[in-house]
Amino acid sequence: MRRLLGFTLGFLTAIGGFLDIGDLVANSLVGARFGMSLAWVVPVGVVGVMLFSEMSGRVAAVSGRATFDLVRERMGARAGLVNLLASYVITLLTLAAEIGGVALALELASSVHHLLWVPVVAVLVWVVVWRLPFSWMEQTYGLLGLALVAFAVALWALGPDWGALLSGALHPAPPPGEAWSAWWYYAIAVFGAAMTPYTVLFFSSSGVEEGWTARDLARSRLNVFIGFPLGGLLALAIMGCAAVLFQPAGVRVEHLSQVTLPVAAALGRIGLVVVLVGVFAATFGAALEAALAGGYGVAQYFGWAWGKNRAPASAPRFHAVLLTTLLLATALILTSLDPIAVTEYSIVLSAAALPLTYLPILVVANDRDYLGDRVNSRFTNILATAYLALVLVVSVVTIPLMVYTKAGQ
Amino acid sequence: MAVAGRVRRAAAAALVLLAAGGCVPGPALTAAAYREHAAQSATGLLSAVRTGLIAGGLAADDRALPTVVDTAVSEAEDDARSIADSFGTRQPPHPASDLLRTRVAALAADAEDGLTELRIALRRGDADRAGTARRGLTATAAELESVVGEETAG
Repeated sequence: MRRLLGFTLGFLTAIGGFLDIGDLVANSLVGARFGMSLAWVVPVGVVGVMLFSEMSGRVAAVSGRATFDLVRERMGARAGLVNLLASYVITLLTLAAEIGGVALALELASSVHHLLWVPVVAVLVWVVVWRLPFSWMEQTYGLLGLALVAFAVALWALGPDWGALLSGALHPAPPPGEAWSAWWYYAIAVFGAAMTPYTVLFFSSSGVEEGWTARDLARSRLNVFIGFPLGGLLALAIMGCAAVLFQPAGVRVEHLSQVTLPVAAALGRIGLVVVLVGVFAATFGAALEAALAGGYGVAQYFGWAWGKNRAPASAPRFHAVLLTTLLLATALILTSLDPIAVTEYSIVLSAAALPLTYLPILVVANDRDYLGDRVNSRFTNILATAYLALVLVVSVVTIPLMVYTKAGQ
Repeated sequence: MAVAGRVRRAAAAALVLLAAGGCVPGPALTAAAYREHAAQSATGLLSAVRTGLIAGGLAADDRALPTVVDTAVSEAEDDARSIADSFGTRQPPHPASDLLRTRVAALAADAEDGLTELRIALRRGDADRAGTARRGLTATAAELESVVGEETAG
């Protein structure tokens, strides 16, 4: 029964934990502007994040060490540093976006300006990371994040023309009046939102924190193979809601308030309250994960003691980096940068830096010294190599496309 | 050494020009570019107005929390103001573009005023005034839609 509960909570955590501010904004924005024509990017992103999360979970379970703990050892200090810098900068931007997202959700519930909520959110994140046990933290925000299922219910209640939605999804081309360049730019944004590096970094390190062994491989894989696809379905529901309500009206999504309006239109006040809880939980949970991921990455590279479960006195540098990362992200949002703009840039830049994060995972997951006979299968390697080629192309074209389209205008 | 100095001075001058270019709204170089800018502004205004209409409709049907409606309408109002300011500072390239400028600027002012009116009415719980504001915004949206259609097609 306990094991069943563990599995169930794992699925739910993965579903709730998959969606963050980047997914909420990117999928709604894309649905409003391009209908379902970019729906194909969601499964592409989900398969990618599943593939590399499974690898990093397997590395954690079999070797008892987090993936990035092994990157420096396996690839050398210089390559490890490049990997660390890329993932840290992106994680910092993501953390800033998530803190902004939580503050925006609180603004929607209170009408108090989000900048006033930012310091409160930062303190809350710090308190939870400091005091709440790891499993409680993961399960509480994962489960509350499930409230985002309201988007799927709302899509059904809006009574869309399912045939038209499916037809849009099966015809991957920009709608009339939209340029291919902008369409591709937002395809990269949706892809980057699904494959944010902190997800994999956190998944791997949390496996070590929870003391996974080879016997936990089934649990890790079930979390990945069921939780992430269900999270992807919710991402499609968000896109569908925006496509149904906003695209015919010519509305472009630029604010979190707009993301929630289709749920109000379909389900009224109760649905809106539920979805606000879900947005709060998803962004707050992602802020916790991103803050921890920042600390994990730096501490693992330098070989310091690390772990949320360790008291600050026994892992002082890990906790100092975590706190510094949180303060830097908070300061960034307090400059009054628009959190949604930070989110958009973080997911696009994340896409540009993907090879630096995912190549080392593939290398470590093929090392028999760490994994013995649990190294990647040939099928996994073929698929992962195809994904690496894809993320390489994405990383090369992202910045030129951003400049050419003036960030998707 | 002299060459290196010239290169450094040229680079510094280029940086100053780039910075200045980024700060000062310049004229659209051609009528086509100005029309494209007008179409983009009208598209952004239409989005803001329709967001206000959706939020206002939800408030009228009592289907949304007042805090969410207030935030959505206030943000739409800010967007309309920002677009109106940006469009207003753009220099039309020829006198022939003045007519388009006048038309879009008037619609931008209507959008901004209509959204302000809607926000005030919703905060006061004045359903009649909110209804009047929504009717005005519906007319503005129809005008903006025709500008987008004409300028995109043309």
